[in-house]
Amino acid sequence: MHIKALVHLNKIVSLLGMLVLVGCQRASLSPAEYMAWVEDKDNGMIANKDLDDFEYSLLYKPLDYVLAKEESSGILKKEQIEQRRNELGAMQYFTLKITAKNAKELLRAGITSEDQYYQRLEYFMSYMQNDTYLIEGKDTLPCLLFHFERNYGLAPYNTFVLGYAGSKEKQITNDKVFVYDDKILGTGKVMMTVQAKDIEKAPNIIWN
Amino acid sequence: MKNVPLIISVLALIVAVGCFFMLNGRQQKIGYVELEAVYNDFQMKKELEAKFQNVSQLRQNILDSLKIEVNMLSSRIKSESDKENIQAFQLKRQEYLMKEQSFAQSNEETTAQYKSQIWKQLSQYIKQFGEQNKYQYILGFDADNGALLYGNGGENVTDQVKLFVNNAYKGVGTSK
Repeated sequence: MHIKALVHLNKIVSLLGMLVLVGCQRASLSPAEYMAWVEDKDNGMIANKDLDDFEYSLLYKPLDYVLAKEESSGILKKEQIEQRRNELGAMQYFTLKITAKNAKELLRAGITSEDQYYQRLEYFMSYMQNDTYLIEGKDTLPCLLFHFERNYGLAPYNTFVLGYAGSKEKQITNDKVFVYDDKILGTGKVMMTVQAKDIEKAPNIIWN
Repeated sequence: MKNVPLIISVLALIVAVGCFFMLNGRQQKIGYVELEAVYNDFQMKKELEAKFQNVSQLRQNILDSLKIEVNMLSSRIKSESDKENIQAFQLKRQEYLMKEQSFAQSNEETTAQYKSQIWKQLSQYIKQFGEQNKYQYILGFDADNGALLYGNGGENVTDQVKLFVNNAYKGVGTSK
């Protein structure tokens, strides 16, 4: 009787263990689903900050996301993915979007002279890179890749493609604290965090 | 007599509506914060204050060095006819006075700029705190200007606001 009970108990424990394992396993998604997952605000890859007349939005782009984007746009073939992964792997990628809430163009929001427009343009193109960095654990990582996307007044926002050095603490997932020490819009230092707990929840991607 | 039930019903309805509005009014959530405490504990304020003090100290060092030079040149003047030394002294003194004025102006501008940046962020975060915690009003208590002298209708949320604004500044919890 006791042995039977023990056998049953063993089965129940094994079943529970399997359920826990299945529950902890990351979901696997197709590239399109994966991109949608990253872009879903509820999954924590996007951090926002609303400050006075400007809204900052930061998208953390895991490497698989960058690859999926390139693959979906036809830039990258499936057989080139691993090679491209090695090329891009040393850095971590973000897109920053700054929106002017009360103007048609970010470059003209709140300015009082044409000089200010050109100052702002010059700053975004040449100097802003020096005013942004990423804090990850004990590391402060410089911005190594910076691209300001101009839209010539077609939208009230501008986007900035950013690439930071990889963290030295490879084995640990830390919060990624993005810092932009603004010198031109009057908002001062802006910090946004992509939390480690959200990054760890990221699903796997299936390429086939 | 036939109208008695109708009158009672109408009266009951009036009382019910009155009670509803009274209770609804009581449910307004009001909090207040000690503004000075929140401002002084705000991480951004501490950072900018430290940054300003560094710059201000460097500027003071420059002025101190210039002042020593001015004093040295002044002591070199032997008489009113010592034109060379008098001219050197006057030039250095002019340089000192111009720098002093320029630094003072720049310090004032920087202080104003930093204050504006701090209040922009602080007020935004307090607004977010109010929205997230469903406050109808958050009042600011400031001992210096007496904007709020007394209130027993609200709760002191200074500590909660301090924690919230500092987390919001670091960008924690701003996702989603």
